[in-house]
Amino acid sequence: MLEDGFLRSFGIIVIAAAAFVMAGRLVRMPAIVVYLLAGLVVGPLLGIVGMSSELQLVSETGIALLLFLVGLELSFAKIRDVGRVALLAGLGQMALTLAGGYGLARWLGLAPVEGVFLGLALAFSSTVVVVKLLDEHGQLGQLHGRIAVGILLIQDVVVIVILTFLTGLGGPENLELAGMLGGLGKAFGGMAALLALAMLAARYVLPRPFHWAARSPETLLIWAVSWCFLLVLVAHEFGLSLEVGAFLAGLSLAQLPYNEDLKRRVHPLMNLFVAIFFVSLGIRMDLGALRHEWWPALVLSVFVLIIKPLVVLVAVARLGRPQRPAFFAGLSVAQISEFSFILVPLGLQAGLIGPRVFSITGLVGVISMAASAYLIRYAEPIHAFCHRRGLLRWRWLQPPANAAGAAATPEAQPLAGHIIVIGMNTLGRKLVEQLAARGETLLAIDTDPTKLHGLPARTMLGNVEYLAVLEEAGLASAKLLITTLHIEDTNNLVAYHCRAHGVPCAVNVFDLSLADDLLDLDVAYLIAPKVEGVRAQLQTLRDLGHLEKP
Amino acid sequence: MTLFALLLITAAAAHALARLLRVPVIPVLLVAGMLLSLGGWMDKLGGAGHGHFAAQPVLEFGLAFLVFASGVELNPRRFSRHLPAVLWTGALHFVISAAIGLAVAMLLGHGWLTAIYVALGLSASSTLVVLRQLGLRRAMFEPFGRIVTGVLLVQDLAYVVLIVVLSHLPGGAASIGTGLAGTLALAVVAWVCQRHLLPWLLRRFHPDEETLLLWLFAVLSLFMGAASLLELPMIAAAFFAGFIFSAFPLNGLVRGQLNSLSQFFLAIFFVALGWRVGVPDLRVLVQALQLAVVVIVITPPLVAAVAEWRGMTARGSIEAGLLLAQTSEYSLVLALSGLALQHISFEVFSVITLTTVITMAVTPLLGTERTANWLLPFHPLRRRRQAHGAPSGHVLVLGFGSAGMWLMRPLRAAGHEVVVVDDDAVVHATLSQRGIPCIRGDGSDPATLERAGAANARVILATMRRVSDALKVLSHVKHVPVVVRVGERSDEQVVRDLGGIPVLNTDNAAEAFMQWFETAEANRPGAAKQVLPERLDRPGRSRANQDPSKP
Repeated sequence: MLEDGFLRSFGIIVIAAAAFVMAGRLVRMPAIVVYLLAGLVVGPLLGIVGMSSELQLVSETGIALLLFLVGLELSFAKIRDVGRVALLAGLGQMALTLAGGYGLARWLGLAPVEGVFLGLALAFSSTVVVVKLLDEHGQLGQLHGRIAVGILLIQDVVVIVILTFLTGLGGPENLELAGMLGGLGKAFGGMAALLALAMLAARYVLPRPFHWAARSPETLLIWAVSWCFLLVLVAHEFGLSLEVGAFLAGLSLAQLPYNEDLKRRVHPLMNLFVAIFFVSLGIRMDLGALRHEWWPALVLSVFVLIIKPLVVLVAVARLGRPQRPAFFAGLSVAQISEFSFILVPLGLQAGLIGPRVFSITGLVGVISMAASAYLIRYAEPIHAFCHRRGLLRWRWLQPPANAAGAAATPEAQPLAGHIIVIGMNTLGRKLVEQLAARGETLLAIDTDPTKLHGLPARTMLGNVEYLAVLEEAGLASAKLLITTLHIEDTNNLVAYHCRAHGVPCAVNVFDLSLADDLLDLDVAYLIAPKVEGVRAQLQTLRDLGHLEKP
Repeated sequence: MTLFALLLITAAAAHALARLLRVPVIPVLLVAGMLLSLGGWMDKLGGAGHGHFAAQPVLEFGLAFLVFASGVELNPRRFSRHLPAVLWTGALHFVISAAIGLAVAMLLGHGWLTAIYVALGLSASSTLVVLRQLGLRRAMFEPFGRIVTGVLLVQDLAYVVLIVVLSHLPGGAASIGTGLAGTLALAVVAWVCQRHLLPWLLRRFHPDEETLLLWLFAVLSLFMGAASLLELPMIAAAFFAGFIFSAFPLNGLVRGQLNSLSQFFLAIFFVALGWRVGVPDLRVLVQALQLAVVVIVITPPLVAAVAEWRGMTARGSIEAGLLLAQTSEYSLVLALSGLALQHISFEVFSVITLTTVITMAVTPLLGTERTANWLLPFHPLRRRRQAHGAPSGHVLVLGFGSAGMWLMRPLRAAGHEVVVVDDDAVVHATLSQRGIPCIRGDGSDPATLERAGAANARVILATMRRVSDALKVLSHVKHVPVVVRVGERSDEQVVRDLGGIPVLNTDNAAEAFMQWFETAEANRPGAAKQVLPERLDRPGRSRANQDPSKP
């Protein structure tokens, strides 16, 4: 059955990805670079996997889920907060990059139309790359992450306009103006309709059914993912990109109280599909071009890596945002988009450009995506370096004086020295109450939202089988973890993570036969209700007068 | 994308419906898929006009993945203590159900080969459904839960071997031999990986969740690749690949990741399967119903008889039997591969699939404590020994468990005669050795209570695993004080309402914890991580010295 194209290529892709990820860890290579490399090796280099429509579908699913997660991370309020900055910085960056790219292309000896295409191809940044990297570093919700995402979404809107324009472009001669305008009208109308749909749904339609479904995490997951693909379908009907649909779907669920839990549940799905997306990007590359086009590719990559961040930095800072987030937002967008790989072939088909532009774009794509992965990972040191060298003192890189502190968004204080209590059954609640009475800082976790009501502690909805839950609970900085669950495997797993983080833990041994395994995991204290129950029973017998010596 | 979205949206609707009607989700997903096939417009969407089923990759990959994911849950350590019972029950259930299935299929007028497929389709139980049910009932770690888990592993293993044999059947004995040798090789590799390679990799690399996820799929793909080279069915590969991740801590580390993926694939797989089967005609439906009735009627007594013979309690055996009364997802694998090999017709394929759906749908209704209790009085071997010679004026302890020994000393020191009722053979042996009267049986069973002289006891201590059992004692025994241990505050009032004396053990547990916590804090205030190094030793040892009988 493995002769079937899809399963075979899927298998090879995941095996290659896993092997490369392990090798990549040795040299601390970002996952995205590793995936691209893996794709280059199994695709163009060895030629054992080619692109197929199923792989395309899986890649698209990954992108949709990724954007859905971005939407979940943000909310209408957070978007509005950075809307103006993102709009101006995004448009400015695109215009300048387009102009610069056009100039460079002409200098490299390309025709004017080719210059326009190359300029466009350079102007967009990759939503998927940026979001994946920001997500890995937990920066999506921070100010620079929001600005970057805002810029990327503005770009997505422009992409739709350009795509509509291009599909109306039958060839170099016959422009169908009416059809094109109709397409554009449909796209913008669709966008407005979709936005309205998402906002109305978020406020009036979704909360009740999702509240009803929330007690069954499985239903919640399936519903959320279906909602995502439903909006993707609607977006598709309006000729909009699936990114926009998925993002709005996520955004409309972001206000629900379960969005954190939902995010963690969608995450594994997204990780799998997006990994395949990146590998398939590598598979589609044309390595033969490297021999002839390495020089223009290098020049343009350096242009992308330096000019794009600079433009965004200047724009964001001049619009009154603090310099640090402006710098990080700039670094985030220093690559070209996978959309360029769609745009350029369209031009090729229409006979507007030659194959040279196609190979150059591919090379710039791989180089800039890989390099920007490093830029985002080492953003802090790069910022420190530029700061030390006085590179950031130039007046244009400073926010205007009158805007100082205007956008100081308080970030949530991370927990430290707290006690995590998992499982809000009678025992869990009792412990939370007693520990709270002692003045401890507490975080209570349960999978059931109804059990988290009325506790004198911070609460968190989540299943601790996801490591992300424990990480968000601040396990590494906690002083103690208590689990009162009646699930052997989960308790053991939690104890295992505690040992790995060096945090003492107290575990409910609801059956004494479980004690040995837990002691092997260096559990600090075993809560043994059965043993304590004996004590209580004896006390009761004494009260009943059955324990005096006859 | 449209196809994919439609599968998902159908699944979402099915989930809603299942919750509204309070029925298990799997059959609803399937029926929703069947409705999807109506009118054939889905086929147009999927571009399946050329006799090619559009969602075929979803079916194949989804099934392999589900088998893989359930393999992860089959950790052999869970039932190592009950191995003989597991082996006997698993093997006998498999063989006898297959034999009965064969007879029924022949009676229904099928030919030999088809009858074999039908018989095998009825012979195993569904790992997917049963583990889910055990998880919902939180009974995974009760003795019967452990035995059921073991039985599932045994049957899955048997199934893998059988599917290999069947798929090599056309090639004759030599081909079957090669197939089995290949399967053995896969099994050995899987065992080495589970015991040595992956634990080593885990220690060496400390993978994050994303990497682990890639490992999962890489191992699955490697095994599927190997299976394809060895010309083995993919399902064998998926099963062994799942086994590799079944040991602690790996199984725990991947569970979160697998959860989401299994839920996702489960949803689209069953919708796609329903779509593949289409709306069945009456003949198919009737045959499927007949087979389902056979499974549901035969399995519980069969499993119960074998399990009880191998030392389980009557109720545990019945519960195990009820839980196992459905056919397996492997039946679907078998049916799909039989269809592909043209061993069976599409009609038989539909019959096997429908039987599986029906029996899976019934399981959550059958496999409950209530059904087991209802069936218990029909047990033919239930000893109806008269209560003469029953003790009186004694302290009756129902459910000794692992903490019961601490009750003994103070009770006997106070001069009480103590009688214990427990269902565990080990407890029974230990107590008999020490000369403590112990009745082996179920403390909630009126007959057992009678034998233990409950009505004439001075006081009864109910410390059973489930509070519901203690409630039954309360309804049987009047005029004797019954002290019931409960773990949740909500149970406290229920016990009191029925006239019992509840003892909430969590208060004491919390108190003991707070004592420990305060001493640990007081010893080294401030230092966050070093605060609590003082290790309370295992309850079995130092706690025994720190006798709970002393207030």
